[in-house]
Amino acid sequence: MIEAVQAVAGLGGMALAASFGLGVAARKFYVPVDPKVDEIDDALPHANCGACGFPGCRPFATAVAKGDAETDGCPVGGAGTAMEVAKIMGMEVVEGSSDPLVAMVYCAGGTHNASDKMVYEGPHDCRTLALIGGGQKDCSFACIGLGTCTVECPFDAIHMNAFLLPEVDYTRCTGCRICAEVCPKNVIDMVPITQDVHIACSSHDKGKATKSVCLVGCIACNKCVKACPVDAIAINSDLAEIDYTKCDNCGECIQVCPTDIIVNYSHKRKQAAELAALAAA
Amino acid sequence: MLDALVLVIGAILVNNFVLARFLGICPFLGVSQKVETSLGMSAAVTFVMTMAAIATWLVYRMILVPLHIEYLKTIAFILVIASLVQLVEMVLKKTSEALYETLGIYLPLITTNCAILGVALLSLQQQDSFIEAAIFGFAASVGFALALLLFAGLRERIVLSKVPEAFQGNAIKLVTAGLLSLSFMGFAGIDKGIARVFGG
Repeated sequence: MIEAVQAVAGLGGMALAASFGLGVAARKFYVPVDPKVDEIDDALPHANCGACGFPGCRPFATAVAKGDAETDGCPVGGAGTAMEVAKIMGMEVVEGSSDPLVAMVYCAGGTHNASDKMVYEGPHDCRTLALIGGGQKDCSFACIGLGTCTVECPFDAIHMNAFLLPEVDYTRCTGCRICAEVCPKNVIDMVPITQDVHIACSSHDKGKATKSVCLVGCIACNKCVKACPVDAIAINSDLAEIDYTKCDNCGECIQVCPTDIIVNYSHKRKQAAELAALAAA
Repeated sequence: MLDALVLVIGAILVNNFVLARFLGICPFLGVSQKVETSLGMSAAVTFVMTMAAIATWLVYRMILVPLHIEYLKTIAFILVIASLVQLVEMVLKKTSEALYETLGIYLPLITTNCAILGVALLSLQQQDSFIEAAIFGFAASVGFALALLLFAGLRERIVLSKVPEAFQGNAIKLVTAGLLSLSFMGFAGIDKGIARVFGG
């Protein structure tokens, strides 16, 4: 009996003393924190990806509360988060007009389409390979295909396909831009998710030169420019580019393209929207 | 003095907490992706482990032994370590914002690091004096830091090398950890040797 009392009293006493000590310490060592920081922190997506330019969500929240960062500085959260953060900061809420962004890979030169000029055996990193003659592909603009973007993506939203080209998973991509920044060949850029039609090539080589190194590269033949009913396509130094502010996803250009380099990703967008609707329901 | 040296070498190399005693494997595998983060973790562990070794020694001698409740040491030590970590976190936040930011999430994570509890229990088993317990706690954490940093360095290299598909991911991690552990087995007996040579 006496043993049980000693055990309970001893351990209970220790626990009480510890909690009392911690309580006192919490008062004594209290650090005033701007309550806005916590509120903003709660509103953020907590991916801690660093796409805002700060080391994580909390530092970003601190910076916003101090006024050192813009309320819409979080690209992952998009318009929703920006509005919430602006509300916490007591700012005029501007209706966000921007659509969420997703990554787009401007290269279709996978192993099935583009030829190689050398066999590379070294560190498995695009940035390393890019230093050696600009990559192993004959096309100097092409995706290197070692998947540095897939490694660096904090959302597991980009994967290499069977032809060693990155494929963006629309259900996961947040448009944080990290893949675009790590890509040494700059073949990745962010596009509004509402845009389905893309010219998946980055080659500024002349048509003949492109043709000789890649089965599908843009040869700047001008056919899509003529076919476009809204004048959204223009040739910019031997590469057709779509002006996304004008394009209405009609797909006329896809019909006329001789190399089939123009792609339509409407299925990806619809799939992502369906999954989002399922998740919401 | 010699005893202290033997204790230090024993805790760092011979009976390395991670690689020979297999304690604290979770942070060893979890926070060893980059040398930078593992440095933060090591610093936090060094801090807490030394403090915990001292605090648990005091609690055992001052509270548990007089009350004859030594059999409750495990739960009592967990209590002490958890509140100690909380206290350290508060004090750090107040006194050194920079250090607090650097240690960041690693500090509260340490509460569940079994190596800390291991230090307390092992120190008890060895019947260390107060000074010995403090030295043992510090040396053990240096050993932990050494293992973590070595492993993080290896993993940074592995990321850049071509790993056969079957070994990718966790498999190569565990194989590497095993090899590292094997190499530390080579230190076995050094502490006893030092004691023999210098102790005459």
